[in-house]
Amino acid sequence: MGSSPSFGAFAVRRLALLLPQLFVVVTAAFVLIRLVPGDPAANFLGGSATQEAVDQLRVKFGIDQSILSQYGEFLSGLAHGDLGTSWRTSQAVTQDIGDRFPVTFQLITLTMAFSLLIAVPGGIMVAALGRGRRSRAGRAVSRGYGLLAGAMPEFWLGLLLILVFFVALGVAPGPFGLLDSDVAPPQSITGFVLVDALLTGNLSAFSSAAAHLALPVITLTFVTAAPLLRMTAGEMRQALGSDYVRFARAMGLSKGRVYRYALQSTAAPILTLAGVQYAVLVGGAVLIERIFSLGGFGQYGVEAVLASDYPAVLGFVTVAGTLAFVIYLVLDLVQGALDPRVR
Amino acid sequence: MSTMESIATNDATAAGPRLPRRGAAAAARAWRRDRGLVAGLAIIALVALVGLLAPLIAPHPQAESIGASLQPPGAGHLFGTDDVGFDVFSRVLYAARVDIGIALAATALSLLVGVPLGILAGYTRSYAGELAARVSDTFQAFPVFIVALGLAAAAGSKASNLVFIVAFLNAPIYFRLARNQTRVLRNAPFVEASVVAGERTPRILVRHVLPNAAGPLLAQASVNAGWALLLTSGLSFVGAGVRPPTAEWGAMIANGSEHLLGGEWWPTVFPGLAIMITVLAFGLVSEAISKRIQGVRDER
Repeated sequence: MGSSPSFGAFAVRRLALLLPQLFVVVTAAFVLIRLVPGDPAANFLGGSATQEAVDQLRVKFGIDQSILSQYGEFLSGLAHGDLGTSWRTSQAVTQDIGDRFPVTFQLITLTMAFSLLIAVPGGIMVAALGRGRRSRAGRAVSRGYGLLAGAMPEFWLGLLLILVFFVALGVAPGPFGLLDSDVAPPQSITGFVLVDALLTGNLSAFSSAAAHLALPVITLTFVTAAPLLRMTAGEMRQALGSDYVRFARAMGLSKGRVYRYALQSTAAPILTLAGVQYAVLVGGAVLIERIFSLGGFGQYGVEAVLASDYPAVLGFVTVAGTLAFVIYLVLDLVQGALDPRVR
Repeated sequence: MSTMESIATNDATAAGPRLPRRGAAAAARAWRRDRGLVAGLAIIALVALVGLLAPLIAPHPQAESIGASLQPPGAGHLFGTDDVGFDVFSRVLYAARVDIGIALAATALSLLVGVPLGILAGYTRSYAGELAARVSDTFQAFPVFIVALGLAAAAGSKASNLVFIVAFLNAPIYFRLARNQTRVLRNAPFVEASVVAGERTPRILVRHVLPNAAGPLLAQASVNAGWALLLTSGLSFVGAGVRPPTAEWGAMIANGSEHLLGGEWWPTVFPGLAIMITVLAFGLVSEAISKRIQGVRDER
């Protein structure tokens, strides 16, 4: 076995891949949105528009040009950090998305954090049940939860939670955004309401935002934690039954230490799944933001889609795809740092 | 861990473990004994049947007011009425044809496209196949729901478009799976033997490769049919899929959710239950198939 390359060299090699990858991603986004049959201008104006009006709009928005020159335009805009102007809001798409992105990022990051906090200890517990009846019961519960979480539409679950905790019990705030209407939003420093509220010492805004985020985060966490839990339980079970763990036990190592070793070897698959889910959450957040009127990136995307606002839709897909690739990049780097064999 | 235990295990092996009985009849028995599989298939069949027979069994047409709006569940309207006085129960039944129809059609279409291409790419090991795999990897990296939304925006939302969109999003999964399976099977002794025996490539692919790759593909297909349903209802929920007055579970939830804050829960809750039960059934089937494949592997 030769010595593994250093992490630094691996990171540089991986980062060098990012630019060509991003080029592929933005091209894929453009192809997806612009090569699908359908006339953007006609869609935007709706069915009753005259051909003349449609043609005028095509000229105005530059979509009368050839697809290649539109692609060139799109790329050169991107190189300058410009995603065009929204047809609907008449603002720069980058501005629109930049304003809303922290909401989404905050939502999915909290979800991921809570999912890991539930799934990893929960999975270890299920695995620790060993063999026998209790273990079968534990696995049956995690299997049932997995099936249920995989089958529930998250938007429906969110609505059920609103029904129970807001409408019936009145313990949660209504689905009307991130803050109560009588709470002044904290001064925007990072764009993340919770962080900004803490930084400015605005505790009423913090507790209001936390209360408003509770149901959306619970909804997404319920769905996200299930596969993680099952994966952790399965991997841990395997690790605990492996020769090196038996050896560690035979050596008389403490239980905590043995579990730590076992967990170390299961970190890679768990992290991989978490990374993939993090990227998927960007999509899942769309529906949840809409239900709870959080005003995030996803909600913006839906509104753009419904209005056939092409530059905004293209920007939305481009940013989401780019984000997914950045997540995969970070994931690769973390894997490389943890495991020399990956480098 | 004691030596005693391993000796005991060895003894059991020496005495001969109970080997599974061979033959198609035994296999069929084993499948039938799988309660999850039977329940899953029964639910799917029932939902499909309800969808097909909706005009015959629904108490009311899907888009006809039967009186007062937002009536709670009761006699004459089992699941209550929605905000225009449509019968929620009848609409849940009618929606089955749209939802399961789109899910099954999209899954079948993506299998038909993805599997043959994947098997060819895996068997020929061509550069084109490698390129296609890379391209499909890129598309798959995008958050699925967002791509679906973008495509729905570009193509316009019609049921037939939804089938193509969902199929387009799932085909790469089968392409990749079929390709990987074929790459492994290509080197299997029985495939090499048929090559040496002079069998023609199409015959090898259909007779030897496809049946052996089918298990994982079917397990995946069942999960994907469930995803397809979730995707369809999600798109319709935000208004980018099936539109009212056509009954569709996601669109019905969207409509019902407008009255949720007033406490009128029934137009939201019942269609969601229908989605959940149907997707759960697909999940059960997929799980049963995966379990069997795993079992067969362990036997080998």
